[in-house]
Amino acid sequence: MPRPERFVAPVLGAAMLLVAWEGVAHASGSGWVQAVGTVVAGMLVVGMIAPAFVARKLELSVVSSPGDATSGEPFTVTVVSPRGLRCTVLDPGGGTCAASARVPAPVTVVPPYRGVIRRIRLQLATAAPFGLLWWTVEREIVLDRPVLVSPRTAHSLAPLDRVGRSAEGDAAPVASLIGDTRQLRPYRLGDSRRQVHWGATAHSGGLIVRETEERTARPVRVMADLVGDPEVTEREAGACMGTVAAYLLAGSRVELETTEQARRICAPVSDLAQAGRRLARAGTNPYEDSTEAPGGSLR
Amino acid sequence: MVPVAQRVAVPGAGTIVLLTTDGGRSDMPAPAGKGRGKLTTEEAVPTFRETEVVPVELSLRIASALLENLNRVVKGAQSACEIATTAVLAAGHLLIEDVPGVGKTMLAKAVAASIGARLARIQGHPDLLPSDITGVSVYNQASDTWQFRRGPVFANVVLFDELNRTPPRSQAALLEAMEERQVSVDSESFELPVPHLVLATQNPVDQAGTYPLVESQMDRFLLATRLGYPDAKTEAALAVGHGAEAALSDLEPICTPEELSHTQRVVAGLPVHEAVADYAVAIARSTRESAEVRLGASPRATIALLSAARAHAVVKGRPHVLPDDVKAVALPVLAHRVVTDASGVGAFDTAAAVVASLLENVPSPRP
Amino acid sequence: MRTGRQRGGFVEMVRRANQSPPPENSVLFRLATLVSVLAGVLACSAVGEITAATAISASSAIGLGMLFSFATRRRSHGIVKIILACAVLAVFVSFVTQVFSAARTGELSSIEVPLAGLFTWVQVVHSFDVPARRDLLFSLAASAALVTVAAAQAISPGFALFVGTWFVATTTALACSWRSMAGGRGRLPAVRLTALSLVVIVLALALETLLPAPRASQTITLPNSVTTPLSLPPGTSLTEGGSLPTEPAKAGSPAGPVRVGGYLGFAGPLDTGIRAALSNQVVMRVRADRPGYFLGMTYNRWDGQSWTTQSHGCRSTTLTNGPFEVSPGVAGGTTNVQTFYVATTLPNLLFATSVPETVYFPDKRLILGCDGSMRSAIAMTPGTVYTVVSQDNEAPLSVLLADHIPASSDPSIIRQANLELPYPYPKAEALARSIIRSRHATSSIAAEVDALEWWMSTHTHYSTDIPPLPRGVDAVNSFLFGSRVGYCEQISTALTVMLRSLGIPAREAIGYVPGSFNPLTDLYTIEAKDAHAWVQVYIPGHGWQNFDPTANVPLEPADPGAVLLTDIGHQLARLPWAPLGSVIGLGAAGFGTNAWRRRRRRMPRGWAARAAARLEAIGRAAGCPRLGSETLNEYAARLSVRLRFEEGAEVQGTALLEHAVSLIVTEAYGCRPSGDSSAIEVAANLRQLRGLLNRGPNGALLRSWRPGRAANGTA
Repeated sequence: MPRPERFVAPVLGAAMLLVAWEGVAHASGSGWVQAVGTVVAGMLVVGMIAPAFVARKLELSVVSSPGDATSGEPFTVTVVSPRGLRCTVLDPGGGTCAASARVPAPVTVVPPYRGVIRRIRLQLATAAPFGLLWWTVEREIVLDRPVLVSPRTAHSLAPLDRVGRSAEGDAAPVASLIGDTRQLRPYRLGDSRRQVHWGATAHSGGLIVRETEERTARPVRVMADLVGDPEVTEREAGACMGTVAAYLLAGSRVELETTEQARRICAPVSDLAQAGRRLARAGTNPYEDSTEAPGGSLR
Repeated sequence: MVPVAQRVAVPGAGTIVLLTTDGGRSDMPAPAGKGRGKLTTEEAVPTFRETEVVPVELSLRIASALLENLNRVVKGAQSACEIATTAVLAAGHLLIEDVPGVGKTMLAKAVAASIGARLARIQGHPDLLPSDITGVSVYNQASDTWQFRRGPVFANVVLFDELNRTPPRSQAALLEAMEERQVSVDSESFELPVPHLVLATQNPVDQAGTYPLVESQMDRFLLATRLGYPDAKTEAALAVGHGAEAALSDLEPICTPEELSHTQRVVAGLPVHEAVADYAVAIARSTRESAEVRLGASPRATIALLSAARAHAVVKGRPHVLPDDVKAVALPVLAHRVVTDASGVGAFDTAAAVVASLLENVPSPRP
Repeated sequence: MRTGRQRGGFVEMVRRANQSPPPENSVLFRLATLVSVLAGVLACSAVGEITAATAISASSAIGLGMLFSFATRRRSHGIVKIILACAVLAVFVSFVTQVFSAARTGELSSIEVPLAGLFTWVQVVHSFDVPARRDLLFSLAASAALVTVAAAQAISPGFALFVGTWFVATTTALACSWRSMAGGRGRLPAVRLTALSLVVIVLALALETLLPAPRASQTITLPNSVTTPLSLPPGTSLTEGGSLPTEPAKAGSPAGPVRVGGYLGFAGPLDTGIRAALSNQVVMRVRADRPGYFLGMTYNRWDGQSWTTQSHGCRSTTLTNGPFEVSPGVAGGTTNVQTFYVATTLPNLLFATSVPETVYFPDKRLILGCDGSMRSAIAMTPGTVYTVVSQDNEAPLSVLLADHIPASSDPSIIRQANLELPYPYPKAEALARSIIRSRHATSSIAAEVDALEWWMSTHTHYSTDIPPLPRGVDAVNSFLFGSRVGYCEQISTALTVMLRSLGIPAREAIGYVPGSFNPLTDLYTIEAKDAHAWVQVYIPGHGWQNFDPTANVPLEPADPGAVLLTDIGHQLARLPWAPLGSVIGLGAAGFGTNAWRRRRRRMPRGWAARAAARLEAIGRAAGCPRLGSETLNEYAARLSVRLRFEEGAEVQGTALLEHAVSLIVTEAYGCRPSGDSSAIEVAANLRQLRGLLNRGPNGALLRSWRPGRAANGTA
């Protein structure tokens, strides 16, 4: 149902104006003042009520929406409507934009939490045809593809002084084809021809191969259990993100363990975008059950 | 090497016989896109009669072959190549606004090589005289006559570097030649060769000591574009070697200048649907009504828009013009013609952005 | 720290409030605003609140100002603002000075005049600084005030022209304002706006019928003539013409240049033998609490053919320095405030319902005649306004009939003056007595009068088209015992004479009946043909009472709503329906054909257009409508990304879409038909596409979509 917006002042003002007008008409005893007054009253009444009928017919469709976003940072969804209107994002919070008829307009959405946004609740407002009073309706639009909101990167939980070092020495070097030479050993079946150390072979008489090692650490496993209050899980997810970032920067391999739709998932992540998407999907989605999530807006 | 005839039926346009001269292959003419097949008509090329209807099919093949050739030489600038092909087919001139070193010369050379034509290059500088462009009359003592020595503008493809570094007099000489398709020296007129394509470049960044072209002169260029930097992968490939030079030397002409000029005529004669023409007019009008534009597109720009759209349709392999073609060429046709409040370095980009935003608001025709 | 931040916030707030809003670029908006402002200014000028010269100069200044502010809308011009502020200050100072000088001279009633000037000049000043929508809306509001100020003085129905112009312009301007609020693109929806305007007009008319009419008695200051002192119209002179030497001169005479609204009775003896045609010329407009007989003067002496006034020793008195207390002692009546707007040159009579108590008249003198008439010492020229507060002593007939006071208790002076007859009328007396006897109406004077009145209304025929009476013939006898055809003069004279012959004091009264009531102006419009003659009978204890054997004058205040409704009904009934109906029918047929043709033109012709419309409908149903600027190919590209096909059929769906679109555009723009096979192929493709979508994740949504509704949406 359309609702008038900030209507008390305009309606009271109009009513007072008309009463005063009628008073003047009666005081001056002039019929024409009254006639003009009724015309003005008609214009005011139509101007204030007609938007309700227009608002009932307001429509909006999404032209484009992004796939990724970061909590607390705005992203834009482009919408288009057959009529001119004002559009405010109600859930999750965001900005207001004025959209001309049939011209795509960008709406700014500011997601407060990480999670997956599938639909946006909007408040559409119109004051057609005279622009005297705004009437609003609420509409929910379903995005063509969900927006994965990654948490904002917070401080790392890992002991920073150890992040770099731990990567070097912790785990035993792994034998590999590349890297530094670790040792020489006699040829075993299956060794590559290219590994043969010809100098040592010449000295020893038997085939000697080079064994190399790669200095790798054991992958760091970050576990994110993002269930419960959105505020708390948001903080946790941010910290998670920070930790992943810190280890990734230090060159460690990182595995992220999360719960997605009651399924435990443990998989390596190679960059922050991947981690953000994983964390967006993890745990409870604060955007799915808007009745339980406290407050959908930042401001 | 036995020429094998292949009949290709074109609805409503009679029959055309195509010959291949490609290394003895006896199947359909090698796709012109590979740049190896040379398409000719049955008759000898020089005696091609003008009255003869050139089937659209041939034009389409020439267009796609030309585009393929350009793309092979100028890598990573597909849209610029498309626009250059459009300019060639529409018999218009092309203005390239870009910084040095992005392959403008390559583009010009590729065009010249593809149509088997002569390329002349003029480097614009403040001391350039009009006669350096058009040519000069020299006294021949032996015959006691004045003989006209033709200047570089008499090539089929003229590459004019840094047009805005040339003094206005010389600019005017070139632009006049472009417009009149002839050069007048000492009360004698010399026809320019057909086809005649001028590729002029302007450096948009370094504006010191330049003579910017005025709007009416900008109008002489059918299209204006930027080449743009190639993406990282292409640039890496370019740097590693396999340069354009090699590709250029590999290039074989896909048609003769005469064939090209006939193709140009065919393109100019393509019918345009009323709705598409209206759309072009609406776009041109929207530039005149926009608050951001100081001087909108002239009616000549509308004509240019449609002729470029015809050529673009052929480049896209279609014998009919769609609204998409008009939309695609609107930016290169209009961006250098409209005058916005911005001047100097950002003018072209501002105008392009304005035209792009106008395109968003002009309703396209519904079938 | 905290206060600093607060101050910063405050400064920010102020800065934001003073931030200049974006300039308004719509020329139509500005034009419409200009028209409504000009309508206000010209309305003020038309009702005489500002002079024509002021109106012309102000209008041109406003036009110039609007041009100036349109040209400089993108600039912020501090100096201009300062100059304009000074100008506004000057206008206000001038206004205050005028008001004070008016107050000092005691003419509080004419404050509207400087008010109109103030509004006009504020408009002029403001028009030089209207860069943004907000300023234009202020102009609109101010134009409403201007129209209202003019309306306060407007008395003619022609004012509707200004109100109408203002209404159309303001509606347009408001619609433009909304268009500018909503992005400022597109054309105004003319049809919708017209419909809305009609709704507004219907609402206004409904309100007008519901609201009580403004009453004259509720005026704070009684309207007076705006232009004082009055002067004689050029070409006329004050002529001696009063029947008494003490009476002042009066303008015009039956033979003179001014023909007092065509009715000769106001300017001398009432000769019932003369016939004069009465025109539809508006002579006065009256705002009255209640309508009634607007009495001008009475005649008491009958000579067989004409009425004259005889003083019988009574002297007319001259009152000086208004407001004039005409009859201070009158009480017990109903207060009836009447304001008379003189529209044409009238005799120097002041009209009023009896009994007038106080008269507001723009002159220093007022002369009271013995016959109950009030006369001015100046000419009553158009534009003269005067107000009379009467105590109506009109008693209901039932009350009068119940009275049994014998006729002999009358004051002798009244008997003497109003029973005189030039010679006995035996036949008339016998007729009167027989009527009274036959009606058994002997209980009271009123009953007798009522019986005679009944007889007059049933046995005489009203007609203004009668031959002049020859000299020397008795008018009453020839009427009663001759043709019995006559109009108010003959009928009332006969009644008077019959009453006198019975010994009941009666006299001939002339004046105006209220005429028609205009529900818009709330004024009674009195035309020349509303001049009337009736009978006044002296009834002891009630004074002179009006009896009218001819006209049926309403004595209740008019209800503007009812009048408006009946007026509209009458107007509708009076319309020439046959020709109008055929014209309307022809127009409707033409419109219908045109609409049908346009619809056909809009209806996709050819299969390509239909297929494109169908594709758009599919996309719209899937929540991805085509944008206005999108070509079909671009739309298809977007659709192929957006549409949710059946699982695993994405590639197939996209291919179908692309193929269908390429066939459609080839047909549409190829300039040569591509044959029926393409049409069949496209139709099949689209059907298949629908199937893929229906089985896709959003299928339910699509299935609820009905083609009919969507097809309407395309138009």
